[in-house]
Amino acid sequence: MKRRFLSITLGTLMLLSLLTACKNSGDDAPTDEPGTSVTELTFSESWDFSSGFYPVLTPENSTNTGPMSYASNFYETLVNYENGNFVPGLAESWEVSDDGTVYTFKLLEGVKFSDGEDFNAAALKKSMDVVPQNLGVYNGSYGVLSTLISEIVIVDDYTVELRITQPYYGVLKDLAVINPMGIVSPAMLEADGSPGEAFKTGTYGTGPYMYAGDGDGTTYAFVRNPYYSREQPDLDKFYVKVIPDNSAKLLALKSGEIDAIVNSDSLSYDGYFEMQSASGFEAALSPQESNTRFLVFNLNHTPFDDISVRAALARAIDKSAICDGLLSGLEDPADSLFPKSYPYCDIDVNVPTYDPDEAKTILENAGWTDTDDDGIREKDGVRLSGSMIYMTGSDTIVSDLALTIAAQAKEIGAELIPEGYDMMGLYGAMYGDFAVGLYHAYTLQYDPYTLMTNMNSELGADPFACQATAGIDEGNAIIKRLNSTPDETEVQDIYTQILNNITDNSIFIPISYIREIAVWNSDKIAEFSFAGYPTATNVARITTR
Amino acid sequence: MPSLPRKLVKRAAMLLIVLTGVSLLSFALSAISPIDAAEAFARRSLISVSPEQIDLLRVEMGLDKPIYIQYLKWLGGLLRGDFGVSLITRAPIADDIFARISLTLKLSGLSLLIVAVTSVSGAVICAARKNSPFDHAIRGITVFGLSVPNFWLGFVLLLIFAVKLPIFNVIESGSSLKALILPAVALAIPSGSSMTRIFRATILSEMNKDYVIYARARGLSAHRTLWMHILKNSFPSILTMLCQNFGYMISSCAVLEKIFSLKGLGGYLADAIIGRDLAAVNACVFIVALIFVAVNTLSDIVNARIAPRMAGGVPNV
Amino acid sequence: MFRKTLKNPQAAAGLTLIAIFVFAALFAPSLAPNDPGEINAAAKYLPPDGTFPLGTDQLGRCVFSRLLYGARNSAAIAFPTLLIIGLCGTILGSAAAYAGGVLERVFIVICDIFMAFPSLVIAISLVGALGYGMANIAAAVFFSSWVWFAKVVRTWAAIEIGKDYVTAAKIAGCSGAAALFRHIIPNILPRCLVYLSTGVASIILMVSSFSYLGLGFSAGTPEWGAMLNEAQSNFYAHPELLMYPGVCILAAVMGFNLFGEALRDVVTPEGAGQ
Repeated sequence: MKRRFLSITLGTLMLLSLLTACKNSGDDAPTDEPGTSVTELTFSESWDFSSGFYPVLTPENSTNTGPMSYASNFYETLVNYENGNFVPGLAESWEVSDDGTVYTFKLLEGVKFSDGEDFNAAALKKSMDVVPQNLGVYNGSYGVLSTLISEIVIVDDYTVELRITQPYYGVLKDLAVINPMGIVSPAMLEADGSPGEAFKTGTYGTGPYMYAGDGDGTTYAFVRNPYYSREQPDLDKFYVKVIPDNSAKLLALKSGEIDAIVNSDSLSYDGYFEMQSASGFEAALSPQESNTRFLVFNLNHTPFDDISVRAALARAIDKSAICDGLLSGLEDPADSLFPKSYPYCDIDVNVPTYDPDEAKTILENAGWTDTDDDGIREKDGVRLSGSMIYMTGSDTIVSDLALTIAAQAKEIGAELIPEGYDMMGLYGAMYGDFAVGLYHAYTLQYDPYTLMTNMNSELGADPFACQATAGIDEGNAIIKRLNSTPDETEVQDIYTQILNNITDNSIFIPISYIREIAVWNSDKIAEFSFAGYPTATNVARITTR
Repeated sequence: MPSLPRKLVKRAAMLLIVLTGVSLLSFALSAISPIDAAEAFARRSLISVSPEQIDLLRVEMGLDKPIYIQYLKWLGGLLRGDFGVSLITRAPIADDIFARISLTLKLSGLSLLIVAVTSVSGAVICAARKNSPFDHAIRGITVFGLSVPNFWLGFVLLLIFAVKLPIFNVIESGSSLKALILPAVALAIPSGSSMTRIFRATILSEMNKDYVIYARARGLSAHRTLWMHILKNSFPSILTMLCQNFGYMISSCAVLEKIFSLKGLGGYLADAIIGRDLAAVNACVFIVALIFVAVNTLSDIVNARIAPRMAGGVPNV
Repeated sequence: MFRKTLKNPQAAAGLTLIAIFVFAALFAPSLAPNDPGEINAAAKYLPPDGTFPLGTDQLGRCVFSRLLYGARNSAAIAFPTLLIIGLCGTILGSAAAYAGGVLERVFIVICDIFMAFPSLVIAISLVGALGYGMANIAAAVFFSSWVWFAKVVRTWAAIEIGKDYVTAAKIAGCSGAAALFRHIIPNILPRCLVYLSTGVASIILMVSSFSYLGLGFSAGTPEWGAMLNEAQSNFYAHPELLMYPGVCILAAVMGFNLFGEALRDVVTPEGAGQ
């Protein structure tokens, strides 16, 4: 009996190892017959499109914003963001008045919506006029501009004046984000301006593709916009399959059921490297950074109100080791809260270098010594200790990051206790008396503008962001000035001031810049380029074999 | 024996009490959570949200009222068939559940069928050929079967049968047999292993009863009639266990539904729990309990018909 | 009875596995070659060698040490929780059966309510309310599973109460508590032990699923379920890290099940009927 039992055990162990060895043998991507050109591709998304296709998506109609990553295929905006600059979109050119309250846009001619309607000043006005009402109570949560519009004036068929109640330096950026400024065909709106049933089952934009209308809740098909008259993209048709689980997405890519996975929400670094080394697949990092990981201190929570503590910790974190090791070289060490490629952020700050010895000296000189020999310093009876809150996820990478940072802090005699929360729990903890937060910025579509706006503590929108202005005299006033000045120089000065203040006072410790990732079936896809906002899957930028 | 209508009424009353208890427990659990559901929900979806927006949301979620009023409101809605609106899908919860429940029921049902067929037949053969190589093999396999975490089984099955061997698709649409067979097997392996071992023991203990020993002594060991008797007497406890397992299966569907990309109730409940969508959680818990209670009642009725003399000491509930 | 159990080869196999598990749990601090929480970013994914018998994980921690301490954490939750489930279930279940009447009905209803409730919801609500940490996880496990045992105990106790010796005891003037503890419970105890011995396995699995869902211990705690979760995130690059905690769970669970079932075979011997 015992022998039988042992043999069964051994057998199963061997089976298990065989199994795991099997998968390492490099999966071959399913190939097309040679000579045929690829006209269709399949992508995946975690949520379905049951909330419809209207570009303004608020918690009123759905909390699943995943489908927005495909919106750029159907809808366009007046301007587009590319590599730190705002370039023409549906607007050919524009001028800004001296006082910053009138933006005159010259619109592209010869463009039609997918329902055949012409795109012109009248259509633009109608499409944009209803945005504030469709945002409803969430007007202001998706960009400041929609709260500032006083009037949109039609000058002629292809010229429009956007008049706002006060100057705002982020007008172009707000106009570049499809939610809520994607232009829709006003003919498909209801009489009262709401999107109605039409947009639940159709896309009515100027983009190269449109919804074919026959989704079954699991797979959605999108075809060419018959009225699109500019340079045609390669694909005739593309599908989006709803796959909630990220492991399942990767399996589907391997089995050929989908052809690409874009976006770090859908793909882990482990999956990225797996597909990079598999034959028939390729992987890429976006050239643009799209987010920043950081540590943030609560300046009201002892002992992190002591600048020596913060300065010491800033010198105790070995960002290069973290980026090369834990993050597998896919992220770059961060010097400042925002990457230099972001608008207004091409600033040199005095980055503290990794120097644990200097960190220890700073603490010693400030009176933090380890009197009771437990490895953690104290001063006047206060331990150099605090909880570090972070969000747990299906990927354990953030937990590992928290543990690594805690270990590096321990080296200099500081104790950061990792406390992981699920998403809802973290929001609760953020508004409590947290000591240290391990979090990230808002992603490129909202950074740096929205994060800067939220530094105004009167809004009560983001307790992490508010720390940036704590300790600056009139910090909130400065932010309000930022959002209402027409003077570009002043905007840049405020950015320089705030970003320097953050670094000089070690309020945030930026750890790394995140880029978006994508993997795809290289037998079907010849070239893949990331969109201007790299979390989006822009099918037009994909060339097929 | 008390008249049938009276028994039914008693039974129905018990069910109502249980269901009420379940819903009360559900509300109680959501009340002890320290997280402000309105605030957590608002911040989940928005980059910047004002306290006014949170208050509006709180009123919309009905969280500004004391808990017993919320419960009574919910109860009223329940009687009308209205479970409220989901915070996550923004659709009526009743519609969401209705769209998803058939898939989960089919999945659990198919899984239960697999469990029933394999575990009963496995148990019978093991009991009949006790201590044979077959018996040992089955016992060995089942121990493995019930020791494997089921969240992992699904992934391994997909890896083998969808990626390595192109038999299935990773994503099967609809709820056809092809779509459900792999997840049903994944669900069935832990339960089936456990059931096989239990049924084997049950049948063995039945075989140790006097009438079997007597029949054997008369040389009727493998007689079919004897086996029919053994099975008939083992049947009540087997059926009860299978039905209890069904309820358990429905709730453990969640992980498997996720990995197999199935739009079922289990995944919906899991999302609701994570998203603190209290209304959806309460509704799902209630429905799951309803199914569980219904299935168990069914099994009790069937047992009462087939084996009127139940094991002594169990009061007629 | 115990001597007979030990002679059974299946029981012996089970006991061996249990012994290894308990031994590892008790002596982990002495047996572990390294600190299970010591992070060394430069030493990630090292192959097995002299310092690291099973190599290192993604943070450079010693896998073998983490497995040993994992046994410790799993045991630390499983055994006390089991003890409390056993005590509560046995006493409450048999008391309910003895009390009979309305009290027994109420008890059955309460059990039905908890049984109909998805245990995941109970677990998440409790952990969400009470926070993370070993005691809270134990509480979550307890509340989601105690009724299954308690109800079965009630059934067994009810059967015993129907038997002659209990009636005789009552006639002889035995008080309620005495009847319970001197007569009823000792007679159902063997079956309780059998049930509970297989219960350890399901608790270990339940704790592992909680860890997998992120409801587990604080980050970095060596626990088999949490290790499975971490290994899953790095599955393609290093699948062996998934195998180690998986095999440990398998072995521990198998040990308890083998032993428990051998115990059952001994406790319900031939000819004694149900």
